[in-house]
Amino acid sequence: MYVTARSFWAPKAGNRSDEYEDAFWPPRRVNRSGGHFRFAVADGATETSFAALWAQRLVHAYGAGCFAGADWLEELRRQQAGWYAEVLQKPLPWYAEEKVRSGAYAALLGFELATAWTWQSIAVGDCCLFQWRGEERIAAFPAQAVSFFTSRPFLVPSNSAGNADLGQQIVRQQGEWRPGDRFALLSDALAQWVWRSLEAELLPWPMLEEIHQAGQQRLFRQWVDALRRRTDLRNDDVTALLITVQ
Amino acid sequence: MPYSAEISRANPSCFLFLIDQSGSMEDPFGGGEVSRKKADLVADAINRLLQNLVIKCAKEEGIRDYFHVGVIGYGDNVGPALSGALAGKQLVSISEIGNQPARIEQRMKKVEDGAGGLVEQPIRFPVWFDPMAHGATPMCQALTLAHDVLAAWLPQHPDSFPPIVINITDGEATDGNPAAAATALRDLQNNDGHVLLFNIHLSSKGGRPIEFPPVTDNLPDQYARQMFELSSLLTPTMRTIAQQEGYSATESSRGFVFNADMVSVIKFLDIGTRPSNLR
Repeated sequence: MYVTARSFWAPKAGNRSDEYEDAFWPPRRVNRSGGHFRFAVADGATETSFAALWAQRLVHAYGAGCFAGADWLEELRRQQAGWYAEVLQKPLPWYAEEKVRSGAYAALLGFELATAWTWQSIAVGDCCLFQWRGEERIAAFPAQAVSFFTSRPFLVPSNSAGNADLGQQIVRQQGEWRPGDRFALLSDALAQWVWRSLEAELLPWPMLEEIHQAGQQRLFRQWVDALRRRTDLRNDDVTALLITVQ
Repeated sequence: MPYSAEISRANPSCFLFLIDQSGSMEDPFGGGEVSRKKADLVADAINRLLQNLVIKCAKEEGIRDYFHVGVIGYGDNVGPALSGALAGKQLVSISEIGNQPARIEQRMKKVEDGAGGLVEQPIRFPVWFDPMAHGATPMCQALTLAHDVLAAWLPQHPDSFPPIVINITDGEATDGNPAAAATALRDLQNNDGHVLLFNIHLSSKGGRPIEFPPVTDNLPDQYARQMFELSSLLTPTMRTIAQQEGYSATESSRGFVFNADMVSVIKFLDIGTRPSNLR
């Protein structure tokens, strides 16, 4: 199995790059053969604090395989404790302290490719996976329509008090791949654009393929800016992790 | 579509709070907490509203200035009611509010323990206002001053989400019928819609809390019905979020609560993703 993968990202218009609260794994491009690959995209919730840190922790843990075992909940608790330890390293003003008490939240989408022509994915929230072959959509997960997207999704909490409901909110999907198949892991704004395109019977794939082929953040950001100017893309952090498998 | 402007630092919105500080606020509150005065409830209401507004805008690096905020008191006088370093200012940024409370108290708060129970934790509770009750209830003057403040703000923010005025009162104006002043205030607009006037009515007469009603049917007296009539409709987005939060909001629901608080309105504002499981 030979995989090429690269992540493209842009902060919400009006925000600085250091205010970008999505995260992706792996941090660098992939261009190699192998028997097993893990990818992830997370999206920290705007209304919570230290959300970028939480999103980073989630994709790193997923990428390292920490959530792969039956004790994933124990691993999540370790990540939650680590997040608290990190954010409480220095004294905080009253409002930041209150926000930390509520915790950070993030959507998480994990994706694994294996040599046996199979893939599997796990999601909490509204980051989305798409698989296509030529012009044909093969799989979409977890969103199945543009109506899936709201500004109030259920997300992974950094506060362990919220773990009780999490088990019911995790969704899983598996499928098969063929050489030449393409995958995209997208945070919600761009995933919503894909679904809006599909529902308008417009193919979103050529643009994603062009972005991947060119491999340039500059081109990606120009495209995102143009979509935002036309109000075709909600103003939010955007991330696209684009993968081709042979 | 009206009321769809993005609220951001580059395109902030505005909250203007009107606080009834009249002598009648010395009367006991009738909503089941008979030992408390209405003035105490008003102070709690405005402190909680400001606290929640600051928290909504807080990020790890500080407070993002998504809102300008003004507080107008009405009782003996009608005018800016912020204290300390912010005294006398009609509008300040939400970061100035958050960074300059009058004092910070230590209180206990019950929080979920992760095992289905609750534990008490000490929290820091900022206080901007103490209870005050003196003089008449010049609500018409307060609404007129709010009109003047926002008439100056709107041309500078033509594309912002329209200002929200929250009036906290026992509803018994002493300077005439407030309907005309309220209509003039609601008629102000920018490119994204009209000014929203919401009312919190705290009554001495008791009665169960009522939140965002679509009709006056269950309101106990003429004052409550009048405050309902003065209130704007919830916007479509607010209505949707209210429904997601469990309120039975309809197209006729107004920004009015009776013997209840209005912290939920802050949740109804969309400044980005808010998890459905965030409490």
